[in-house]
Amino acid sequence: MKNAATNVKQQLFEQAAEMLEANPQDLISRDGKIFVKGAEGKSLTVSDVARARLFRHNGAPIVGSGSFDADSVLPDATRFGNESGAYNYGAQAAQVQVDPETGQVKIVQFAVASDCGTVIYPLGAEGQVEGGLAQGIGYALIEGLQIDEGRPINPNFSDYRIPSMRDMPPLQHTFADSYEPTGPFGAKGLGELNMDPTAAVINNAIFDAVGVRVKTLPITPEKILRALKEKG
Amino acid sequence: MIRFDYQEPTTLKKAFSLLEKHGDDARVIAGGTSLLIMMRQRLLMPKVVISLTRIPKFDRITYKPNDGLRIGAGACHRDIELSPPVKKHYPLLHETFRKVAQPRIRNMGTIGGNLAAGDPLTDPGASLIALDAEVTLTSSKGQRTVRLDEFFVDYYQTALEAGELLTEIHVPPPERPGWSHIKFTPRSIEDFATVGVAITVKTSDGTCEDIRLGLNSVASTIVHAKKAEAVLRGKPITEAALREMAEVASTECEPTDDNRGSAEYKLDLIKVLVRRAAEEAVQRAS
Amino acid sequence: MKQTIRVTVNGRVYQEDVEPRILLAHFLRENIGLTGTHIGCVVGECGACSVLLDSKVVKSCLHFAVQADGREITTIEGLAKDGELNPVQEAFVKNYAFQCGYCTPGMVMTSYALLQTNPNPTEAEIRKALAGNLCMCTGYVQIVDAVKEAAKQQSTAKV
Repeated sequence: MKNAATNVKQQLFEQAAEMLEANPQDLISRDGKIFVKGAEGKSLTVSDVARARLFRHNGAPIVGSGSFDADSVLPDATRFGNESGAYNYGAQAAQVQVDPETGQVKIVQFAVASDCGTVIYPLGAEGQVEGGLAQGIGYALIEGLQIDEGRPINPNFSDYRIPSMRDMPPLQHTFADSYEPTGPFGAKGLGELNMDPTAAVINNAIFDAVGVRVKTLPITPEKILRALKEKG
Repeated sequence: MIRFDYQEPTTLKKAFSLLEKHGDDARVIAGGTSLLIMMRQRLLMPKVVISLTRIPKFDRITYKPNDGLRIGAGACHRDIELSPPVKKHYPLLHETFRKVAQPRIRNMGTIGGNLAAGDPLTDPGASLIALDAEVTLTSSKGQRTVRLDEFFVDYYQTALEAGELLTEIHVPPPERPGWSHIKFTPRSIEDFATVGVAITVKTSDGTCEDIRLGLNSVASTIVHAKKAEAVLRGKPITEAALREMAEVASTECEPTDDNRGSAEYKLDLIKVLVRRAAEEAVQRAS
Repeated sequence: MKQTIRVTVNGRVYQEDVEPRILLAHFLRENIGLTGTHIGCVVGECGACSVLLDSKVVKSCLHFAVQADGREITTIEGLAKDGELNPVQEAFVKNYAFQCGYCTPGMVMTSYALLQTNPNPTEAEIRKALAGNLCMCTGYVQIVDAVKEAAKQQSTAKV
């Protein structure tokens, strides 16, 4: 992303430099405008520059591309290796109430801490955490894709439920103060992190509450009740 | 979606003549929330769809202290939920209709459509049975009244005969002040009930004077658990009596396995939830 | 056999010949060309198709177009006025209340309708009103924040 964005900036500045009769190195951009350092009065908007680049002889839209290949070692037959340049980490905690007569689980509150290196866009990062958690709670407690000989037999939202707004618990989250040297501006990935531990966290909390563990997903009240009965 | 002709009669009389003309080829539509899904799944394939939405006063809700509540079949769930006399005099209904699906569905789906579909998974029927509701069935030949607990015959089958329309629901003045409604949804809150329980009860000095118990999602029709009622009616209200009533209620149900739970689990739930609903209703009664 | 229907969509009257079996959602998207209303599940569960029908929020995938004859519909395209976003839309943008955007038109329409009848909803009331709009991206928190902010903006605007 960073490389592609840098590429775009380079193309924009080349075009703007022509139009402002200046050197690309002397240009800066702020608030959607591009201008020569110290001469903010004579500026061009980013969209004007982009249009000018397109509507000219041999013109083309500004498209940036970039790629990044982290130093990695593909896993061998032992499945050990180092697939990614950086790894993200997280911790989750859940407080649950279990109704021992029906097996129903209520998540009273949930807390999440994520290490994604530098948080570049906080609102976006928070959205990823919250969304990931909704997916995690979904597959832990609610979903359940049923497959018969390779074919899903409940491929609709009436039979295959996902969490609604009312199914989500109060959530607190925080980001670890960290910096990933191999990442752009110190950032690492975040997207899928918070889906991973959720089922385990909830299952552990249920065990703490009523002393039983469910071994298949989704963790339904029926499975909890059955486990409680077997426990005696 | 299958092809069909669409008619919008402006009077009940015109609706009846259309029904007679087309017989089994026709289906009526009010809100359309369940008919449309059944047509898409080809469970129903009418050649003619007759809309009842242009029939005047079909959605009226009226209340008189000596007569009770009269709800036009075209009233949608949201209107019943928000109706002031319902909120004031029938808190069980207000609570039940708050829980039906979500607001978007409650804006469109009608009580007439819900009851006439005979779906044992939906919420209003059990609560209306617990309030001794009866339905008016009208045809070009006249009218008849049927108790709601006799109206449901089997899965998606009701006592409606060819050419008949469910036109009104009558809920008598409430006689039992204690009430409770439980809609148990183990997965998402927005799901159909795995088990639904509605109770009304009248007590005096720790004795049950009268009681009604309705359950949904536990059999091929909505259940009126008369044997369970008989366990408590006229008897002192003790924890043991409530447990016994709940046990007997489970024997009047025949739940099936589905993706909301196994039959065995549902029977366990009935025993727990009927007892809990009764406890809550008894508390409200005093 | 086609029927002629007259519907008002976002203030403009349309007269169209449609087969009775055409869903309102498809009618809006294909006959009128307003593709802002999305079709997610087609069984009335996800709410992406929510529109206002005579100012009540309904799921347009559970409605035939012919049932809307003579009635007024507002779609997502009808919320902005003279190029200015509606306060609900502004609040969604500001609070990052959408990611892939698929559920968003339905979320915005339902939020808009909620604030028309309940201008100062509690969080519980917001979640209840929007419970029929499913989202797989956001986890709903920022959507709730957006609705709270829109409510605040609308009440300060009125003062």
